[in-house]
Amino acid sequence: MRCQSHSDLIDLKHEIHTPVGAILGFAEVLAQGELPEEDRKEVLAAVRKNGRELMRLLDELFDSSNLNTTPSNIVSSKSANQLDLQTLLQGIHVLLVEDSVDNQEIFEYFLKSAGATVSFADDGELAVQQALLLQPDIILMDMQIPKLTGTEAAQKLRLSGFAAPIVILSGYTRIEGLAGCNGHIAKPVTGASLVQEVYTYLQRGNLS
Amino acid sequence: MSSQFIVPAAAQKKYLQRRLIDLEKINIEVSFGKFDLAKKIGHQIKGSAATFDFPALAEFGNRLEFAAEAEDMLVILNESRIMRDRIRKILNDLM
Repeated sequence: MRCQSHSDLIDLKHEIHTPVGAILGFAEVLAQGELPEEDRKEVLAAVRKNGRELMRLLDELFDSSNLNTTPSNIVSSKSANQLDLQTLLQGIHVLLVEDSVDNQEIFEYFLKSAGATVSFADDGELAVQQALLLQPDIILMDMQIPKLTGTEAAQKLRLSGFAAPIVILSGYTRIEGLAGCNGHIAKPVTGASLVQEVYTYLQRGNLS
Repeated sequence: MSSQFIVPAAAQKKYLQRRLIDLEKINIEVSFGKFDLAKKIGHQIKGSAATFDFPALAEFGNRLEFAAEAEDMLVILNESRIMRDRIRKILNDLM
């Protein structure tokens, strides 16, 4: 595993985030309790599998002499405020789950302005289908959507092994349990803060 | 904030025009004693208006949602009328 450029580091980050996000997501599903025994076994097996994958990646990373000789590459990350908003989400693929056309349009404008590719789902069932099909880097999920609520859709995705960050984007100030989601962005949100929040969740890549 | 994150006037205009339609629908529904639409739209406006740089409209959404939860038809109709006039004025200014 060689990390000679910024894009290599981004690839590495994604590789590590995937199993970590999965483990934390599955832990959150288990914490909800009352899973049927079969589902519980499946979730535990997935946790073990992702744990082994993470261990393999870390072994590979630390066995690599490249990282040992160029540690400055690793610690050069900037905060969202220091980065150029216009390119902050370059190459990122966002799935926006939102049933309001107004919000779809304005959030798409903000996210695209920051370089992201955006796709949509306007109900919970479609959100699950689209997420599994498109494998976006992050999902922004409204709570009040038809067919499945945002948290129900998130739970289904975690049970299906979806590991990328899922962030609730909602006007509700109090949300009972995040149910496999990584966090909550409160509406109303400005363009700059939306982009910065998305960037922050992508950097964390795990449940917070 | 980077200039590219300023909400385009065209998007603001479209947003306000849609709210005028919403207000008409709410008035019809409420006159039949139905409050679900007013509650839903109030909640949506509360969550979206400030994103379009209309904080006063967000406050209206909050009051609308609250009045719909209380099934207070008079407050809803009064607030809707005030907001309709305000939206029309903003739209004129945007033209």
